[in-house]
Amino acid sequence: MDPVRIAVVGAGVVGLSTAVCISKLVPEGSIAVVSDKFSPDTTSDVAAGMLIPHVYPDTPIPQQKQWFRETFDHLFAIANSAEAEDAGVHLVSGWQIFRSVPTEEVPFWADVVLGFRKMTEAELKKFPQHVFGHAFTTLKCESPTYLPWLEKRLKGSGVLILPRRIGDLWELHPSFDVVVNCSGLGSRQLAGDSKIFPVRGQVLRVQAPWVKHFIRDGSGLTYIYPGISNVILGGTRQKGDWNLSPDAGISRDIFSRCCALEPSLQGACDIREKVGLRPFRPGLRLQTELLAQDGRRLPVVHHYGHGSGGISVHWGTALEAARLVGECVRALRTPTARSKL
Amino acid sequence: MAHCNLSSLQAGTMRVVVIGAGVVGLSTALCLHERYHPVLPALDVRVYADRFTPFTNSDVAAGLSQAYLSDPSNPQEVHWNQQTFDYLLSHIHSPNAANMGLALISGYNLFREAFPDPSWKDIVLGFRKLTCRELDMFPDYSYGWFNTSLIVEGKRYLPWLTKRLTERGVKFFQRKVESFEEVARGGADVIINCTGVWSGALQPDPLLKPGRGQIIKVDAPWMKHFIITHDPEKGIYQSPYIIPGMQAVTLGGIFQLGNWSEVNNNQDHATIWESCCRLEPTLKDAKIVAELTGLRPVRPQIRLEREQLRFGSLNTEVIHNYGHGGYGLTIHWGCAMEAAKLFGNILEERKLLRMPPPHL
Repeated sequence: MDPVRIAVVGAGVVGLSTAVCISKLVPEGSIAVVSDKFSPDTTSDVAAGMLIPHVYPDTPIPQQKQWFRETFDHLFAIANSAEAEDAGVHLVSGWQIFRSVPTEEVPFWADVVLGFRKMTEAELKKFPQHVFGHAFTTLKCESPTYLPWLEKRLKGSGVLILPRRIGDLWELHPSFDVVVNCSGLGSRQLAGDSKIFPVRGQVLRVQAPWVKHFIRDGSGLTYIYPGISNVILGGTRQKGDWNLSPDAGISRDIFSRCCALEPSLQGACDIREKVGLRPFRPGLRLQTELLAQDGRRLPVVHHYGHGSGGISVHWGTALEAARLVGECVRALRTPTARSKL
Repeated sequence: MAHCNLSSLQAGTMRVVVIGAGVVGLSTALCLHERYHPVLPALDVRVYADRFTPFTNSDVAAGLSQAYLSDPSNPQEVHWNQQTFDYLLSHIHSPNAANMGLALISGYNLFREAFPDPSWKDIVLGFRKLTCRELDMFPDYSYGWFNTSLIVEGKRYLPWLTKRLTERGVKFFQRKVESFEEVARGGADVIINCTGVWSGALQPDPLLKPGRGQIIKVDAPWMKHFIITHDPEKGIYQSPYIIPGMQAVTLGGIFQLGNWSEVNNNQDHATIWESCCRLEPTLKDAKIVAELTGLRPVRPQIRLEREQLRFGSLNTEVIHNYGHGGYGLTIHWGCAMEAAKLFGNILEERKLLRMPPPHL
């Protein structure tokens, strides 16, 4: 039987991880990744990649927890293997601090991360403006390294990488039998989805190798995330702002907010500015749609709208997307389906 | 014991010579000068040493603030550890922390079986036992602790101390001191002996021995935690440890009592490399940037006491401050304060203080 030809649109963390999961779960598929942007030019590349979940209001908590747990376990295994450095995944400990005691003192993901506990009085002394905090160990997954590592694995298993800009999903027909739409913000056009919009985030990448802990203000607006080759300082959340150029005033503000939490950052050097547009949607879209036009049919699995939480849940949602693709493939191959086509 | 005698200053300066420019010598000089120069402007402090940073043992040490697991034979040492930790922690919040070589760091202490909590569990931050999932990361170990402590890196801290001392007018002299007598005859009123492992050359001390250590420094910037293993059968520092510093990561696990060799040894290199890579497989990709040997000044307890020496008609006060083993950086400031207190006693006895210094 001919392999089913699957196009994954998008080469950010969602697109590439989905392609990997499909290659494992759908052996009868022949896969191509189609994208106009690859690392280091994707939205994922700007993200710090800290595994601290974003809450999706429209998704049941047990589902979100499962996605986060699957992602955490997957990356934890990589972090403890000899591949950790090649994959850009490592453990990092730190603190999430609050100016007032949060209504939810223990978040749903507390038992997924490692060693979660409340901060002691002595630990809180470091942050005089804050009265409560969490201490835990989590993972950092750095896309500028992780994405090329995924890409290498994909090429190794025969997946085609096609750098191409798509204006319409129908362009992929009839070359492909199934399309997996991981185009993030691109879905505004490709899926005609007006529910997805950018939440602009500006960050600074600095050299401060002595900073070994993450520090995140409970609101999520101010954070310090130490990585392999830099420390990321953030951030902003600007809804509906499409501007990809860094703003100097914002950079000064970010730096000042972060220095307030970690004064030694005043000695940081080689400061660079980056901007990313988070693909925000009220609900993460993970569903199959059968496109039909002029007698043609094209099954599409939509997998986009991860907002701030792409890296935190990418593996869990990619597994789900791959399962949906598997269903499409089986449907295409059953005789009744073929007669309908 | 406040001395309220307002007798006028003795004529001439009070000359103090600190011998040794490792962390103990420099911090003692600084503590002393900070405390007594305001009340004794005629205080002249100078540092004599044959080795300065980056060639001291303090520069070789990984710099993690962590005392030994077993209680020290001198209970004062617990107090000095606490004082040092609190002092360094108070500087962590300063913009200068990185210039001082200070940073917070968290990590793992690993054992093959259950072990009693250490005396310093309430000194460090957030001390707790390891969870099962955390222990899964270390297949050779079945028990352990997690806590947050400090790095105090000699290579940055010593230059910082040197700057502070230089600003205060303390002078440094590169010389190899052969005897206390030569320093006394040179005009020193008080000698502070911070000569570390070489103190025996100035005054025999059978209790003082070198605890040779060798370390490999690597670039492994993905390592954010210290990992220290313990093997009670082998003894302290003879089990692999991985300690990230301000920039590079220190790999170690060598402790040879009585070995004076300051040369790197190939067998020790192999021991460190193999045991650390087994502990942390990601290290196989790490680039080696340096390899160093140092001699820990091992002693059953720190010698921190006064001694009066007489050379002919000269009466010289000596304050000994040596024998800090592998925990000099961990305990240095508490010891410096104690040495400064002993110096204060000398000043009171000689009626040199116009008023008691504010700290006492």
